[in-house]
Amino acid sequence: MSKPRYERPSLVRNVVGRMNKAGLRGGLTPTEAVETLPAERLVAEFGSPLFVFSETRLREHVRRAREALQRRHPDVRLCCSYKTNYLDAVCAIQHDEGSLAEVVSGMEYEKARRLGVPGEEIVFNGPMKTRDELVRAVRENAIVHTDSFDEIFAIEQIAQELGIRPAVGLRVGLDVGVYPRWDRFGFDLANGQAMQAARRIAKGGKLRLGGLHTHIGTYVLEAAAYGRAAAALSNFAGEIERQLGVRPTHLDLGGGWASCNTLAGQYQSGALAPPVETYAEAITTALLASGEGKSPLIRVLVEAGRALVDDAGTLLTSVVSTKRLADGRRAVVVDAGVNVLFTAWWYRLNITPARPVTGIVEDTVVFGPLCMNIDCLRESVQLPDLRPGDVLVVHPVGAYAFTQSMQFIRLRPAVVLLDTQGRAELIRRAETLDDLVGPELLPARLRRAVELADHGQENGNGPAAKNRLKR
Amino acid sequence: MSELAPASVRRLRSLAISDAGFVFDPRTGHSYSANATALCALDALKRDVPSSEIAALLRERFAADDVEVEHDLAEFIRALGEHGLVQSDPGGGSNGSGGN
Amino acid sequence: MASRPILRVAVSGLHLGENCQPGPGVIRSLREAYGARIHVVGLGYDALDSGLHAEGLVDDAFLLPYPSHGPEAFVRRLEEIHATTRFDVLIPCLDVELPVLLRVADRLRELGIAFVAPSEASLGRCSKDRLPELAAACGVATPVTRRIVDGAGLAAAGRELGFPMVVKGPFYEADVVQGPTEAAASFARLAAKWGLPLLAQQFVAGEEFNVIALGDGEGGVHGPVAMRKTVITRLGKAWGGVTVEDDDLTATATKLVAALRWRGGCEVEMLRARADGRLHLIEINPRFPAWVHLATRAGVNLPLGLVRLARGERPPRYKAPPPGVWYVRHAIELFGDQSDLECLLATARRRGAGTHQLASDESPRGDR
Ligand SMILES: Cc1ncc(COP(=O)(O)O)c(C=O)c1O
Repeated sequence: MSKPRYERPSLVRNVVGRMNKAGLRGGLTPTEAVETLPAERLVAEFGSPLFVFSETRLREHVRRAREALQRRHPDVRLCCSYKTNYLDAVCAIQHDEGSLAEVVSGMEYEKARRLGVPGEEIVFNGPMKTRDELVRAVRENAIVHTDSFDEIFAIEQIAQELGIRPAVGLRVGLDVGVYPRWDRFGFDLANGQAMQAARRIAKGGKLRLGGLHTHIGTYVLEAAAYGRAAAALSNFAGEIERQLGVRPTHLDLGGGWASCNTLAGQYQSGALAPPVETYAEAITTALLASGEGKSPLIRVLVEAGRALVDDAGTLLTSVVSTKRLADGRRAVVVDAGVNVLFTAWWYRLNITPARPVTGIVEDTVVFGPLCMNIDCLRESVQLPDLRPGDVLVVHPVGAYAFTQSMQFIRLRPAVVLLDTQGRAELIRRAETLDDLVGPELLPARLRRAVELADHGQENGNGPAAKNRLKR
Repeated sequence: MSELAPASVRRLRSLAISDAGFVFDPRTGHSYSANATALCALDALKRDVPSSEIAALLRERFAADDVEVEHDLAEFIRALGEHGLVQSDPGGGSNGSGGN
Repeated sequence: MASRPILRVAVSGLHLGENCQPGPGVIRSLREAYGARIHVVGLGYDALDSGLHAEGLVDDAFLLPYPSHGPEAFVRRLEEIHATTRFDVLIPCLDVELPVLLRVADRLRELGIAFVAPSEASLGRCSKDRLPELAAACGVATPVTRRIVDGAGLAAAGRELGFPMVVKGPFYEADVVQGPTEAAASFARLAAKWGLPLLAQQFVAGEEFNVIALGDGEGGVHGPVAMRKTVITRLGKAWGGVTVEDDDLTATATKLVAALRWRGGCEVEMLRARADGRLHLIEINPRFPAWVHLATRAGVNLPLGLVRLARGERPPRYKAPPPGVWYVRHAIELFGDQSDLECLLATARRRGAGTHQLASDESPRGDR
């Protein structure tokens, strides 16, 4: 007969308003595996912390969104929002599903090109595009949405120099009742700027009018706002056609659909966010109802990022130590912090143990490994007694967590992809010191000090050290 | 070595403790949830068993290899002190009672 | 047992505290209709939810995970409870349960659990910030309402609506403020608690009336009963009330509930303006109010109608309720020993109806 598992002896006071074991047990189902692979085994094989992406789930989300839109509108294309997660594999899967690329910098543009996306399938957004980036984009017929008059002037000049007449779209600022309002981007519709920009492009003689783009916010729980945005863009397209005699090439509704994540201050679980079908229906219904719904239908683009990618990403992290805080609360330190989970700032990320829960669970603070007071993943989450090495599963972290991660205090961890057969493949190795110091140049006059310091170090002969010593 | 002051042992004996891990303190009216090891430790503490022996008892009853049971026990007794269930004055010896 | 219980129903929202929940009123109404032929499963959130312990109220008591844990945890627990104690009808009595239940409706149906709930669309249309839309569509007056997201918006609302003005949270809580300083304080407090946006609402002086009703989901509205609060708590909740007869009031409420194609119980809060005597829509609550038992005593047993709807039957034909039936809440103490709480905490279940003998042999022992 085996003995029961040992846990630290613990006595937790029952407080009115929290006397609910069902809540604890119900809210705390362990996550023993990601897809079919045990979390503990993944960590044993690939190290901790570890980002894990599910190809199956990513494809499912993309397909669901695409089908929901295409079922109601014949000409809709999804765009892979690069900033949401520009890991090559994550983007490549979306392109394989037929998504265009949506980029907001030259770096992202290059990344898309590198993945084999032709310029005409790249939507180039954002408030900053350098001259060189614009030159390349217009040469390659990218779908450019301008953000300011200065940008329009710059493109006009480029067009003149190159002797071409590129299509240029514009980002339109709308008030559709979403708070906070993203009014710093593009040209406001209500105050007439958007029409002024359209006129300049269409009638300026140097450019052709491309599409109309808007992005009303992010994690927008009210799907109806997309209906209002679609109607506004569509009506604006009609107005342009009437006034300027040209028809915009497409309407791009941007992204911002809510994912299954839960905002920090939100009472209800993020699992209650509207499904993609609700957003798709709001958009397509409004478009079909508006004047522009009449044939031929204008092509529609959608750049939903987090709604498609968030759920596909999981982070495995291991307990480093456990402690009692001065006020008696239980705390654990884990090996992944806000350095890799920037998103912990605004989301109440799910954190569950990777092994079956026994004994009593207790309110626990989850701290990251950084020597910074701000490095906290959850102020309070119900967890059982944990030991160093225990694996915790953080979900969903597919959106923005990796792209916003930083080499602050610790290097970035490895990323694996679980393919549709349930096999794990490394898609980004864990970073080494070389990745950090590679771009650094140490002035010669400071080198001696480093050599001396290295001399005294036993293990100063790694590739990074050699790099530094090279003259 | 007996670590708890007699008053603390009496106090622990006054607790109503159920097998399911429900602990009621008649003096304050507070109730607590305890896990299996805590129940085992409380039971021993009430019987005035020295903490080194309690640690041995826990090792015997539970799969506790490679675990700092003595340290955990000392922490537990400190937590009892914070809940006011044992006297935490130095004479009471509820701190530093780890097995060193 | 006199006869086999035929209605097995689970009811939540059981706490009668500072903010009274509707569950106990719903259960008492059903007990009055079904007599001994009912088995009530009480669903609570805290071991000290009073309704779990009230004598003769529930036959069996279970704890649920908070709805904020999400639909999966919620439905799993209901499945677990259902496997222990079958129930055929579920009556959720708290606002926050509805969105969660709507998500798992199919799973409940598979278990054979019937429940009556408004559609997500009707639920959305009666959210505070969308009420003006509904009121306008029905030709009902409602105080001018503005969404406010910052100090400038608040100041603008103050200028437009004048003082006193009402500052409201998106879901709960409202302050009547007398001037810009109070408005700013209320804004800061509510924003910290609920986040943005908040609502600023024109203050309409007048007398408040509440109407309880049952919608059948197809525009049919059963048994509206109108009431005026006579005793009001510091939180603004009714602690006593009296049925009133006002055809305009019940007709207006009926029009709103019908327009929503509401399915299930609800409460329409209206205000008759002192200035012009017009009715203004203040709020619609997506469930029966805590005073539901008053309507029953006035001859309109809406929980019975709800159970009939859940079973695919027609609600009874209600007669117009007489005015003048009053209620006043009377708080009494419930007693128990630690074993009741222990049982709920250790197993999330307590068998058997309400209060029992003290010092039962299952109570936790002292020194053994
Ligand atoms: C222009 C544009 N499109 C799409 C997105 C993707 O947003 P989300 O991940 O919220 O869907 C963003 C994000 O900021 C954006 O700025």
